Amino acid sequence: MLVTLILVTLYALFTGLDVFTKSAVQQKIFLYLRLPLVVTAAIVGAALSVSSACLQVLLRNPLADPGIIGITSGASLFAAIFLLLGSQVSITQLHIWLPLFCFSGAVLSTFAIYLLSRKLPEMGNAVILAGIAISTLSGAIIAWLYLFSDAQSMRHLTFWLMGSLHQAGWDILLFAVPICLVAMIYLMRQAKPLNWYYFGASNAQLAGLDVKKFNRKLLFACALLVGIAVSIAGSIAFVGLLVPHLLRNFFGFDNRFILPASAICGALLLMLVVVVSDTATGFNIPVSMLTATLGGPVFFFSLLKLQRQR
Amino acid sequence: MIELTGVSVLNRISDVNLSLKRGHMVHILGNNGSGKSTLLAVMSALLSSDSGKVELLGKDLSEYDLIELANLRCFQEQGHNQVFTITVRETLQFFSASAEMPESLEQALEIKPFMNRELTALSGGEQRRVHIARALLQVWPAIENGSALILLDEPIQGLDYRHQHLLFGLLNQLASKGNLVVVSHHDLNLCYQYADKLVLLKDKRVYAVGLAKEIMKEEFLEQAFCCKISCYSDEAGNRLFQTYLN
Repeated sequence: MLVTLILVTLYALFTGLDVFTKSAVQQKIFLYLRLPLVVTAAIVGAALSVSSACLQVLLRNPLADPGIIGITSGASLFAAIFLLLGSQVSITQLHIWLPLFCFSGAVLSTFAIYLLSRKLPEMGNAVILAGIAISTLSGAIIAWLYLFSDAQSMRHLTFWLMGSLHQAGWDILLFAVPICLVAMIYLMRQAKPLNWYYFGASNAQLAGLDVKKFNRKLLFACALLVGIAVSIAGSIAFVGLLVPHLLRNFFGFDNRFILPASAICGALLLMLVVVVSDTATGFNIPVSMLTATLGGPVFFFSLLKLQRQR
Repeated sequence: MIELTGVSVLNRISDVNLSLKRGHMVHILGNNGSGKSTLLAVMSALLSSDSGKVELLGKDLSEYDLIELANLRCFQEQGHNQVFTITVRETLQFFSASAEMPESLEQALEIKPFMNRELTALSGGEQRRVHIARALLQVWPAIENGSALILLDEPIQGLDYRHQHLLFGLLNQLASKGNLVVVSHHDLNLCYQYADKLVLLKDKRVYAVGLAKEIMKEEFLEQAFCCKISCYSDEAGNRLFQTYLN
């Protein structure tokens, strides 16, 4: 069923383009604009959803999402530092350095959140609070950087922070896609111990898991995915929260199903967003605007549901 | 089966020497903070001791592979803080190799009626029954061989009388197969009824170890629990304990 849905989306992306004619312009549009767009949407959607699905279990908070717990803003901060202070670098170097900066930002904020949440284990929402603290701080530093930057880099950054799937070309995708695929496959292979983790670290250890090693490896893989997603598409809200959350509501909690399904549905969701924003409306709607419009109400719904359980 | 020599954990237990054998049902009793949970956690390898040695089947506990240990011993912790709305069925599936609930386990814990409900929606006692089942299912193949170490921290907390007896009945049965069962709780009468061996803790130390029926004497218990305890015997020789403040 999910495979069919993907095919439908791919078909939708061919609308308006007649790739199979001999028109060179049409073929170039397909190869250099439409196809990278679809690949970006798919890989970013999948990366954000799979990493969130894992983070929610690892941090034992069903509301964890790279955007909400501050990983995205950590990555954005490093991207901003790079874009505003290192604006002398050439375009080719940009494609190499920007993902690296985003990734380091994502890793640093992930571990900051992890350490903070371990210091405050009694508070169920400690992770969310730690994330808000990190987001606020990152936002403040970005605002300071704005004050001291020139107009050109400021425009660059503003556009990037809004989140866009149109930025990535083949040069960066050829580097990002394999890494994301490896990280996602690695996470999916950890589905069984992640199932134990629903019941806390000590129960996972009792079931035979080396918890410390596991934590480090998984957080690293998640940070890698988020870092790359942010570096190629800017910050995209709520996809990570929405997809695993809905899947768990309908299909249960078994990560052996949830992780692959999150990858497929996350990819599908962003591709649908692309279809809506590019083909249906006729003008470019920022991705984050659409995902947040969709994600906002779902976030409310899940908060209310969590409240009812207590 | 498990042997503790001079085991200490800072501020929690000190200089514990214990040797527990297969096929026994061992009860750990003692006041709050006397070290019951810590002792169980050390035996489960969840907590490592600051000094002393813990040997399981003649091999140092720290030398065990985590997976090997997971197939050999189970430990049900006292508190459970569940944030996800997982169903009982999934909870059991995640920790069990087989999809079917063993007959004897179901008879004692009676979980099937709420198999499809969310764990967090159940009552405290029902949740505890699920967690006990989850722990036992993790080592069920070893239990059937009679080679498992079963550690349960206050398993009867929140359980009704019927399920307290059903559970201890099952644990006795598992012990008679050759497994070592170690439970902590606060009920002298259940201890007298079901324990083979009793470990009495006081002030983070082992106060007494021995056959339950031998060491469960009024004066001795009163000293261990700092509380007045009367013991009544019927014609059949059964003892009944009553506790009150001076």
